[in-house]
Amino acid sequence: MGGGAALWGGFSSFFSIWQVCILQISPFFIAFIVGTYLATPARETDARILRWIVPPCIAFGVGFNLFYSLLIASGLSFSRPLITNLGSLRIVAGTVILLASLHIFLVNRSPFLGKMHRPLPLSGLALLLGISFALIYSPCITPMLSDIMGLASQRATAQEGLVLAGFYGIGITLALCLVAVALTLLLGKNATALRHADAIKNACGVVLLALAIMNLTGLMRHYKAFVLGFVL
Amino acid sequence: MANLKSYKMLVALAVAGLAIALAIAGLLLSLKDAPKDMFPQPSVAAKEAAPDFKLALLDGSNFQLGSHKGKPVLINFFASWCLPCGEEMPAIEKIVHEYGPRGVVFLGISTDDTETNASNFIKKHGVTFPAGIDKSTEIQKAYGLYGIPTTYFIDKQGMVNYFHSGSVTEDLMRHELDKLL
Repeated sequence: MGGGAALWGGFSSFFSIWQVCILQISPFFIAFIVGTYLATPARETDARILRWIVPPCIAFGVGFNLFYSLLIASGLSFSRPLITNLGSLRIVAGTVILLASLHIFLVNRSPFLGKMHRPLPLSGLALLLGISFALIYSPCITPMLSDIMGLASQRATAQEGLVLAGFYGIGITLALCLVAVALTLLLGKNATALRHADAIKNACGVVLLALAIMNLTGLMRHYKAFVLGFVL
Repeated sequence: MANLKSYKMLVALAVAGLAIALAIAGLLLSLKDAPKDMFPQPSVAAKEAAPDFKLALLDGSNFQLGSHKGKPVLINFFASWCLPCGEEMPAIEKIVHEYGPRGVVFLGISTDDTETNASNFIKKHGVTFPAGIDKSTEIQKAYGLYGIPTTYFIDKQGMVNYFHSGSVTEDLMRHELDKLL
């Protein structure tokens, strides 16, 4: 299997029945990007929107893929501490998501957060969010991911598995970012949505807050069991 | 103009970040033939003692892994909301009927799940082997689980002989269990 095939495997899984599993993270990332855009001072309605959302999307992808591939490559010694401390790391991830939700809620009320609401600091937050999402994610193992994990779990082939997992993850995040960017561009052109921008922004904050609380309290299993189970 | 400049800078930074990530990936790939002691022994891939645990089963009884030493054990981690978990269940059930009488112990551990949904899943797929929910996630942590379904094959001495991430097939299970008998 090559990197291109792995990338396509991840990308196509997003638009298939496997999306059911990706629902653990996809609506929450979209809420972050949409909330981020609607919290921008001018809410530009043209291509300048991209200035606000593309760098955070890329930063999210880098953070997510780095940790996602490390968690999959269980055959590498430096992956082990991550895997064995996943429970504690998920609490840290929940805290980062909580901070992201508070940012979206309070950005228009706090001068400090207003100053921080710039593409570069937002990309930093998106990087941490990407890492957090990789930590809280419990992937359903597709046939292609199963092959990759087979390589990644063996010492002799772990590095190859790590790289393929990275490409697979890039495929997932590429699809996720494309959907988030497309949705934001549509919102930016929709007068009704822009009239209710504050309400939508706050709703995005609520969605992220719910994810944070679910991760901090262990309620995430109820979300998975009921929401993902309902879709199936 | 200033906005355009900073936008270009951000894109350049992002592309640079991506390029660094890909370069690291490429470097790791090129290290495939490097001496193996650069990345020393992983844990579960090699033979390691299977972490002992006690699990409350859905039928009200308890399962203690340590009390099954001397018998091969197959542990399948699943969840009711996991698509491939449902797909592999008929194959596992077939193997349960084939290898159960030969002394293999089977256990299903539902993760990130609720009791109602796990019970419904078990009924729906006609699961006959013992199963319980890892509510505290302690067993997942002990086994370093990332992704489901995952199946562990534990030998008579209580060592993890092999584990498989993803759906298991009948052939794979036969191959692994025959080695343990």
